[in-house]
Amino acid sequence: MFGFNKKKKVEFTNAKELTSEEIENLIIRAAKLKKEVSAANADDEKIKLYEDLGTVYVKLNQTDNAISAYEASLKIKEQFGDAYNVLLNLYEEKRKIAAAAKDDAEIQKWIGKTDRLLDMSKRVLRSNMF
Amino acid sequence: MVVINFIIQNILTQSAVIIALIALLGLVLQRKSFGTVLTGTFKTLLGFEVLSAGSAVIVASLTYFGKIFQHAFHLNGVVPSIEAINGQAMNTLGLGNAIAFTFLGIFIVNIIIARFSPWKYIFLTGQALLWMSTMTVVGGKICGFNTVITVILGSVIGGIFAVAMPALAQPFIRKITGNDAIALGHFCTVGYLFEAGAAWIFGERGENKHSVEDIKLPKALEFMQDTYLSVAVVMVPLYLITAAFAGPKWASVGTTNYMVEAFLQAVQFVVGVYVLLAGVRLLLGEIVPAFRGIAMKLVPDAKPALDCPVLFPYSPNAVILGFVTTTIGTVIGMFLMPVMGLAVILPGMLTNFFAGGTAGIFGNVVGGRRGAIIGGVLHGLFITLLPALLVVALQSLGFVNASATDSDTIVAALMYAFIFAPILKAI
Repeated sequence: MFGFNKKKKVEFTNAKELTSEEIENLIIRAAKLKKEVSAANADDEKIKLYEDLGTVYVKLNQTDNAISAYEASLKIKEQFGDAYNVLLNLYEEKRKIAAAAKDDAEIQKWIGKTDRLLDMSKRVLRSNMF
Repeated sequence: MVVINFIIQNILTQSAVIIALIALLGLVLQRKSFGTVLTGTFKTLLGFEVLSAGSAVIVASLTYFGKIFQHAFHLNGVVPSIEAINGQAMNTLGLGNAIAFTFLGIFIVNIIIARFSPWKYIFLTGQALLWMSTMTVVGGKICGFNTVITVILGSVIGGIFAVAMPALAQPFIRKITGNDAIALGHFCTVGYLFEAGAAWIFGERGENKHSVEDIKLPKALEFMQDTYLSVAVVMVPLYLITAAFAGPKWASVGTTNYMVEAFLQAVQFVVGVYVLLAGVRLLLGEIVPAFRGIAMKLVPDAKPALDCPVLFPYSPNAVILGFVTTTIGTVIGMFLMPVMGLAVILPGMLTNFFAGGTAGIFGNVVGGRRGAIIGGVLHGLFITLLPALLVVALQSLGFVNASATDSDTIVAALMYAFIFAPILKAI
């Protein structure tokens, strides 16, 4: 019923193990993207580069850097898409780590960021309606 | 002894003080600094008073509206507004203390269930928890329970809802978001499941299923940009039309023209909602983060149940379609309810937007475009029927021209009215 049996497995983020060669390539790619971002002028181009950079950092398991890259993308333009979807999950990952460490300030920080993402969701939906 | 009696009789009976003390407890448990504890406690106290002020404005406006509606159409016109119900329950009916303790109780039961059962959902939408504690306390009042039983039963029922509703929605959330990281914490889930069921029966399946996201929708809903504008856009015409039918004899106050008076009263309703929600934000601003911190430490592997906008980015077209179709359903429902011998439930734009929009996502994921459209209209009818069923019980308690909105909170109250109360009477 409801098509739950046809499960569409969506692989998320960083679970795959990378070879040292792949890691090296990704680090080179991240450095290149960072340079391109600082050189870029157009907002659309910057957004695309930040999101690519975020994807690379996720693959490298560098969560904090990935969060910074995706947040930078949303700072330029609030919109629905990869940045929102990935950030929601990354914030939750960070929240879980903070909870396991019983670090209240960190728990509040990541829940607060999730709240702000939800506020953004409301704003974007409303601005898309006209 | 005299001092203790004074404290019990004059201070601890004040809802504002009880709520502030709960915030104080949360802040102390988190080992916050003295200054933070003091300001946090005071802000909570202030929040309750702001909420009360907003409630008084809403009640005055609704009393006027009830009067003119009765004379215009000879029917009972009810505004669905959980804010108005909460405000009236907290103040006019003096249930503030019970609601505050139930609110705390729901937190505790939610943590206990999440800690010791496989269902790790922690309900993080503070406002929705306040609505749930309001409606379970109202339910207890309907049954005639004393305050202690009302609070204990309300905490258990509310706590179970806080875990069960995200759990029931989760198979759909996995399908919508593509993963299992977050859950939905919005007490309109019964409505969402209803729409999903309707979409499954009437919607598209298999190869024929087309998502709403594949079509381009017109962007002509400018008024929804602002929460309060969206309330005004419905309330102002509603008051004006009703006043026009009621005539100057009933709709005018003093020397003010009756149509001008109706317009100002509609604006007053919007002002009341604005003030009341500002109060709710202040009230929950300290309690909820404290609860979150405690809950997350006690249940580190918790699955956070978040407010409905969390789903909007996954299916924005379905949200718009859900809002439109639910609104159509509520308008049909407004005419249909009196035919069934029930009160006229006027469409509530805030619920139609948030609950209708989210229901649209459920309808779309289960039954594609057709499922979202037919399911949306039926959802609108469903969320009109639920508050209509509750009207008699609410008015017998003294609520003025309002009924609740969020479907899960209504289902909880209906459980009291239609199951617990008759059982108690039979015994």
